Amino acid sequence: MATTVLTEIEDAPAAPDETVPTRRSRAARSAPMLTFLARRILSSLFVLLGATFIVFMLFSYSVDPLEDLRFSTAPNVQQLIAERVAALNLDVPPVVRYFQWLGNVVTGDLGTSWRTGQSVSSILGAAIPNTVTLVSGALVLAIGLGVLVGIVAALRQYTRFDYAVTFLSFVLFSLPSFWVAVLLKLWGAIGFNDFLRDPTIAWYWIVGLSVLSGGLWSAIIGGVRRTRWVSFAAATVATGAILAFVSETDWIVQPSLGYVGIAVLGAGVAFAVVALTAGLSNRRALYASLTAAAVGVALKLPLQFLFVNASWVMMLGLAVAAVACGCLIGWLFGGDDRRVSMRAAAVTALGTGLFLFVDRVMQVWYAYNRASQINFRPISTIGSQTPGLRGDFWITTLDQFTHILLPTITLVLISFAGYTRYTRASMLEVMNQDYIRTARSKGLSERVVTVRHAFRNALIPLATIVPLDVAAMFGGAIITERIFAWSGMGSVFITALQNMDADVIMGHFLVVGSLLVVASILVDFIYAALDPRIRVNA
Amino acid sequence: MSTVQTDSVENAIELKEVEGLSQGRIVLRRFLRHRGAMASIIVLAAIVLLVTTSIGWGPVPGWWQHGFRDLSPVANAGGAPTMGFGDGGFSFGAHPFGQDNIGRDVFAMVMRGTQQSLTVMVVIGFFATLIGVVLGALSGYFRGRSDNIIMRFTDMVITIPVIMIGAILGILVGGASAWSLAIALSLVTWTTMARLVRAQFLALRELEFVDAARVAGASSFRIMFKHILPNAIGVIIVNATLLMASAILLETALSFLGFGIRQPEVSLGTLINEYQAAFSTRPWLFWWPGVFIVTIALCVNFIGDGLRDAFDPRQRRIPTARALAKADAKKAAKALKANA
Amino acid sequence: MKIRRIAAAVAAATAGAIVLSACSTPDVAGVAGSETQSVTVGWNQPMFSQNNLTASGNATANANILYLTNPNFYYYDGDLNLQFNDGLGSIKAVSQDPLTVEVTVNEGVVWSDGTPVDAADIILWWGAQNPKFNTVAGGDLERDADGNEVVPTDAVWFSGTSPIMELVSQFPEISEDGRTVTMVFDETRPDWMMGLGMPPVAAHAVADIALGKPDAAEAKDALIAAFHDNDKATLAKIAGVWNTGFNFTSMPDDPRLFLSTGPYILNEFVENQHLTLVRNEKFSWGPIPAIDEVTFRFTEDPMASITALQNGEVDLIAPQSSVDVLQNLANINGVTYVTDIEGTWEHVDLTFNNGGPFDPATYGGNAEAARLVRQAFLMSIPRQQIIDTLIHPLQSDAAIRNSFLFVPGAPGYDEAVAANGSDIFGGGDADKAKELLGQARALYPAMPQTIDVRFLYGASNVRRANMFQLIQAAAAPVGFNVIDNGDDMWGQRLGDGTYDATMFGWQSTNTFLLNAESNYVTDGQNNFGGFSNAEVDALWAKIAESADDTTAEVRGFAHEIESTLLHEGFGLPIFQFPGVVAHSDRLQNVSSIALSPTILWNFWEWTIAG
Repeated sequence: MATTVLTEIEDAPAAPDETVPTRRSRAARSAPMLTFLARRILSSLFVLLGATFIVFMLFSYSVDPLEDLRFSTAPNVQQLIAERVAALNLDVPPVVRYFQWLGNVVTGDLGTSWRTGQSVSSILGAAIPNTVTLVSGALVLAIGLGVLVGIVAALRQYTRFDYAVTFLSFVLFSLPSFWVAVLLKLWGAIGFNDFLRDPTIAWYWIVGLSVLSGGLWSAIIGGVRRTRWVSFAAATVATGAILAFVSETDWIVQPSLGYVGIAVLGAGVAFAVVALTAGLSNRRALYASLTAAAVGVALKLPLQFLFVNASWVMMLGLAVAAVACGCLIGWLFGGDDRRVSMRAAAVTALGTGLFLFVDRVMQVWYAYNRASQINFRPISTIGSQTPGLRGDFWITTLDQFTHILLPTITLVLISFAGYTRYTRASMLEVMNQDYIRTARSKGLSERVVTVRHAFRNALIPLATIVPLDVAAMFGGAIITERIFAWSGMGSVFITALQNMDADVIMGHFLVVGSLLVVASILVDFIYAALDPRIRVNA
Repeated sequence: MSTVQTDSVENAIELKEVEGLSQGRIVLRRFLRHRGAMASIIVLAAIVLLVTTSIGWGPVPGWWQHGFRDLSPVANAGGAPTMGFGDGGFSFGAHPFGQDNIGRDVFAMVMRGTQQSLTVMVVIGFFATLIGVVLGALSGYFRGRSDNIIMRFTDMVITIPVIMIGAILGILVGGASAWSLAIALSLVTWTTMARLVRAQFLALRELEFVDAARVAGASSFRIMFKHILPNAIGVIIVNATLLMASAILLETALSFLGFGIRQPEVSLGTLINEYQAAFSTRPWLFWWPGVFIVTIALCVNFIGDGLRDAFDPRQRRIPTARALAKADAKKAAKALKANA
Repeated sequence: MKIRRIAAAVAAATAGAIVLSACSTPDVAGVAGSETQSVTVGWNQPMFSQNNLTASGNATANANILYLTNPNFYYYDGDLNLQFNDGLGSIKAVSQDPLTVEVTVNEGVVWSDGTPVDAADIILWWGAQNPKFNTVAGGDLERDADGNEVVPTDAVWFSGTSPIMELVSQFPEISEDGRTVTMVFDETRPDWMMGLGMPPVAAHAVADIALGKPDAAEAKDALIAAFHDNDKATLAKIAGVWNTGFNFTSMPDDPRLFLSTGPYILNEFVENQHLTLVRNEKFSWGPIPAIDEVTFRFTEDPMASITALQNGEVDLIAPQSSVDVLQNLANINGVTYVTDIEGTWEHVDLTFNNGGPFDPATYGGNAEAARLVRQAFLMSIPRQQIIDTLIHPLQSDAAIRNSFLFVPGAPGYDEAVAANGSDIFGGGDADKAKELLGQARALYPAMPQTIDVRFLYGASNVRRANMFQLIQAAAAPVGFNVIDNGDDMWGQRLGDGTYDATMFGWQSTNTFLLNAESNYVTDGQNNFGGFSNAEVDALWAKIAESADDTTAEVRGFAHEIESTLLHEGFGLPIFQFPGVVAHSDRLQNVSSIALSPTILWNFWEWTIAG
């Protein structure tokens, strides 16, 4: 085949922008690769230069920084206007101003906001972490959820589940984001907080939600009619029981997972991980994972003493320790392919550790709610923290969580549908490839075919859009940030636009534009690395 | 179970489906079978019919009694909709969707807003596709330096924030009309289309029929637009629909931030934005335009989905392992019967 | 076998651990210090500078916070009367010719670091705002490529000057005890008091940062000396600190940047999120507020503040009013809201000099015909209908504003309305308008049957768009074809002659008459319609010369100006913007005024119920 380019899956960047030289021989390889890289970087610099110029000119011609002074009743307004004209160099043409700006940027000076006198680098420095906190979590969740649902939808193509997912994702696709945000505030924050005052769930809600969950699980699990009915019944009863428990006890006011909860959830993780990665028939892997979960349960008590002086560094250390511990357990179980057991046990250990963390956060839930600033209305609608709330690591973590929850859900809801459609299409395409047929013909189990062969290849096109999404992420979620009063890059941009603050706009654009350009180069390389069929650059 | 047998079963399914049909017919057939897409086409057509006939379009008058800017006395308290079940059963009343606080008819405004939003959608769909196809085709066909230049230009356009476009329009043309907004937006939304078309051209130009055309003496222009383009039409159509679906949401988002179509012209986006505070107090002001936005976007997305399924044979139904086994068993049984 | 053994060991360990769990676990820490009485106010823009006297720092976002931490000598009360903070000090005019003013700071008034407030601070106020110390004019400064002023090290440039302080050219006299400053004005202005006050930054802090003098007394002396001797080198350093040294957008490390002389002091400031003020323990020279902590939370989205109020995250908001905002507020339990007027008022202005329908030149120079056309157009404006349909739903006691110069509810308004002849316009009268137009036509028979009026307004402003529609509909039967010239860049078009009538709002920042002079005087800065009337100009000159504009005589001048404006058909005031203030029921005694600082004016009276 002379050329092959994967194409036309949704809005994929269908092909790399430039064809990357493929490997001919080890020696001949590095030199053209380097020239290619150099050329690509150079041309990207010009791209960035051109884009900043366009944006600067668009901006300069679209705002009137003297607007407020035109209505000023101040007696010395002429002088104020003269000062501002001089301060912003409004008496020279925008082209000249652009090159002045550029000259400063080259010397490392991004300028200052003329409205507040704050330097642009400090504005961006404050905004970028906020945006990254908000958007990165949402991005990871959206991609994870989208891929998962997309894969299941593809495997269950043209079933009711597939139709439901398709419909739902299109509905989410079609919703204006501020609409989602406003609804979430009304129902997710105010509704839930009101519910907390009297946390009982009406029986019809319990019944309705249980049946819904039953239907969902049976559709996901699929299989012959008997299997479906069994999964339907099991999911319905389980959901009903949990909801009834929550409604009848004070669990929601003083929640905890407890030993039983962690044990059950840990075992669940163990089974799920083993089923996906090794197959339940791999007894060693299963026992290793279950052991990892059990060790987690056993460590709950000693960890409580450690958790008193917790910090994020400690949490990170514990996560590493959990993975190491899982690996060790897997290694101890031995067997022919230790690596499989080690991997499964490590993932299980990490999962169980996460539940231990959640359990500890739950323990401060009541104390948090009781604080006068919270007053039993924990889910918040604005900002990223409660003013004046002074508490330990767990309280502040919970506080961050209650603030980030709704904006994250908003972002996930409006963006995960795209990944679902994308993964589904890509997975369907892969499942129709010859090598899948071959794999099946070899008699490999459906699990191995799906996970080992199809899933990995289906992710290739995804890998080429994620870098661009990550780069775009730094631009901030303008509407979501605004509605939830989150002070990130999006709100920096929109405020600067309203304030006609050229330096801030350009600083923002410089960050986002450069990242986009870098991501675009990265995509080309990922593409070439993942798909060896990319042809030689002539 | 033998591989050969399975293949033959699969091929039989496929062949029976397309026996004796042209490519176009096959695509049409597949599309017609897509229930979601067909339902969407009907709904969309109904909406277009409703908005064009009700208040008229341009010089053509409509059958609805209120214009979207007419002020009439507020019928119900607060302008609540008159549509509902009264004494004589269901009736529409004078203002079925209600009125705003100075007595404008919400139905007329929603109709007008839908016209504007549809205009934005179609115009962006058309112009962005046009630009994208031309640039993508040139880039993919000629490769080399022109490809490089066009693709770098594309990169440049991708980085420009869309909001800026809305903001500058407010200055240049004193508030965006549907047309000016749409054309300006199509100047920045063609990039995906260009990249996709380029990819198609890169692949297709290497195929034998292109060589054949070249040998026969066809000009580059002719090869590009007569020979290659028809083969890329599937990708183009599918992406154009998706582009249109996102265009209508883009217009809404811009209006929310105050950079879209301006008063006194209305679009669905400005209506929703203007009445977002009415969300829970005068829901008819907020929900009607919202329902139309979501419905239109949903329909266009479904149509796009149907078109993709129709154009892309690789996404046909995958026979599951079980179905294949069943088919095998049937075949074996038949063979047994025949032998017997 | 190995698996079994390990499993058994783990099981045993787990069981052991669970048994152990019967032992006590460490206590879960709660939330510290929640006994204080705190109030959270929702606001749209964060503070960014402690010094609101510079050109860039002069913003409501700063002034509001400073109102709680750095009070001035005077404030407006609920009835817009000027009140004095007698505990802080006094401003007295001791002579009228030449105007001589004594500014005194009371004994015992100290900055929050314990340093007394005294003459040095007043000298800083005077000197920093007096352009005579600037060796370079703002407009002439060299700029770096970035547009920042490059002030040469020996050049003095204070950003933000006061036209009132400019009138005090002589170095003010400082009393023996160092707490009274006497200023002699070169010229008289009725609003001189607005130019005097207490600087939001301490003189000793400025001098310490600029000159490195940690001793307060020494620092103050150095600062006074620098202004007294016009010591360029020292003043240059002081100006640098004054201009940018007090800008911050999050909690500053240096406590000198936020010294307080008021009941509260800055305690916590998280960028773009919130800002918390706590009690200034040293404050004793005024009413002591009942609330321990005031937090400002910043949200840009107006609907977000309402949801936040509903969710208990803020206690007090002043959102932009609309029917739905009010309805939403009414539907929330535990929230009280009050509608009242704001400081901005809407009006229609006509253009006199563009060859349009209101220009005498159009009627062959027949001034009377043009005047009648103007009056006819203004009379056709359905003011009562506008109030009834657009404003009344937002403010149940909404009324037409009938004065150009006086704020409704402020002293002098009622008298002005009675005297200025505004009653002839009423709420809009189509018949009378037609009659006037008929008279005009009699004077100038060549007048067209329908008169085109190009009407400029801010197109995206929903209320103005609605008002335009009402005006258009009402003026049509009179004989005016009102052409929609809605434009979002209306601000830039003001005064360019491309429209015949326009509608926008003026914001009042104080109640002094001179505030509005430039709107009506010939060639005034804000006189966009080319209106020129010698009588009006002469009356303004008289007002400007008076030392007090609240006397019956000076108000009489104002009434005459208004009568002339209305008679000449300059334009028409329509209404005062309706505002809404909403607060949770736990917060009591909230009140609002039309002028800055609106909802905060009586913060010391706030209490928390229960």
